Amino acid sequence: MTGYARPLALIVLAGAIALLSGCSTPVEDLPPSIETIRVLREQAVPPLALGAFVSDNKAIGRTISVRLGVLHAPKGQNFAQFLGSTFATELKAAGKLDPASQLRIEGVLTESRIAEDFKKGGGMLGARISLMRGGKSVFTRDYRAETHWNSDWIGAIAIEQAFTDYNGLYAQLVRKVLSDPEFVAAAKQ
Amino acid sequence: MNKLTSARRKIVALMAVLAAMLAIAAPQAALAMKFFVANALGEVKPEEKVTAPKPKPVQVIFEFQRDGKPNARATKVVKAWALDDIKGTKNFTDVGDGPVADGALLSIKFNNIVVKEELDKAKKQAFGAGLGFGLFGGVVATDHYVVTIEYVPATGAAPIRTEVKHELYSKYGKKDVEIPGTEYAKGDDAVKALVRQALDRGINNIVADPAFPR
Repeated sequence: MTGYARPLALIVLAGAIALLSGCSTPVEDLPPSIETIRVLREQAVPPLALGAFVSDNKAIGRTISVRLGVLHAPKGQNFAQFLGSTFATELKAAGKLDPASQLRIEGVLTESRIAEDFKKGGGMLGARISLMRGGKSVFTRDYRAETHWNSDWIGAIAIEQAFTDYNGLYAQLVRKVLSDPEFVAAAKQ
Repeated sequence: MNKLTSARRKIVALMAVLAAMLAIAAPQAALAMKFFVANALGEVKPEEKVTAPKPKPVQVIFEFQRDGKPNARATKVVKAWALDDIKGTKNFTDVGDGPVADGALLSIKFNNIVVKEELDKAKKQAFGAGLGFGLFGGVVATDHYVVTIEYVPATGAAPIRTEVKHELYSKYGKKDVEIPGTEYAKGDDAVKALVRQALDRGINNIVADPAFPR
């Protein structure tokens, strides 16, 4: 190699690896679970409507990053609204979503984080969920879902792992709410 | 990448980084990966095949997991294949993801188990094979799958449950080992075959269960 060819090759190599490690990808819709469907059906939970899902603060926005990777909420939504969509998926699969219902679920996304240090990673999602009947609150509780994983020094692996696990938190949190006996009891009152 | 499963995806990600290096150092290097579906499970033989006496509609709930955690991206890809496979068994008159009148449910959890020791070993081998441009050394990675299938014949009915295990092997570079599997030219074809075999076996187990409605 000539004098400048080797550094150029190294720059190209660094760029290629950065490209493999840095990307922007949307969060994916999550499937419903049989466990929640069974709870909702067997406990004869009445159909529910969905109200507003908002963020607690501006820091919880439309994107979340790991190294050079960016995970963003679906087009036209923020992460709080994505949480609402995940509720909709689960309720719809159980035949319990009714926009005209007097019972309405509302949510405030209070926490949305990914922490990663090249060896271990963790994701946290928190939300204050309220159940409204005829416009009055009948139940409010804070829920939190956490996940931990072994991270990797290779960005492409670490980012993929972090985003997949973070994405799954939405399903975990929704399942936690809908299978909470006290939430179910409040919905049936 | 969307269609690749976890452990294999990790190896492929490592390969991709190595490929970037190779593209600069040796563009002519051969990087082909080979995919094998384990022979241990195999196809449901005609003499084993059981058919539902009164097929009816069913709601399918499909989830692809990695180490028990939901993987939305893989679910999206594999679910379409799974629905086609379930229709192909002809044990249900209608197969979809919406609720059906009597509440019949078929839940499938396709769990990709990552064995950390195996992954670490494969990564070391992959790195060595990559540095040798695939000409010296190689790597065989194993994806383990535990497929849990539950059928609820109607709302409130007791579920019928079965579990099927399957493996996918990925081979890169020169590795002289006999792989107990059938080779597929493309990774997607291998995964499709694996999904179909696992579901055929699992649904056959469900229909053969004495508790299945006759």
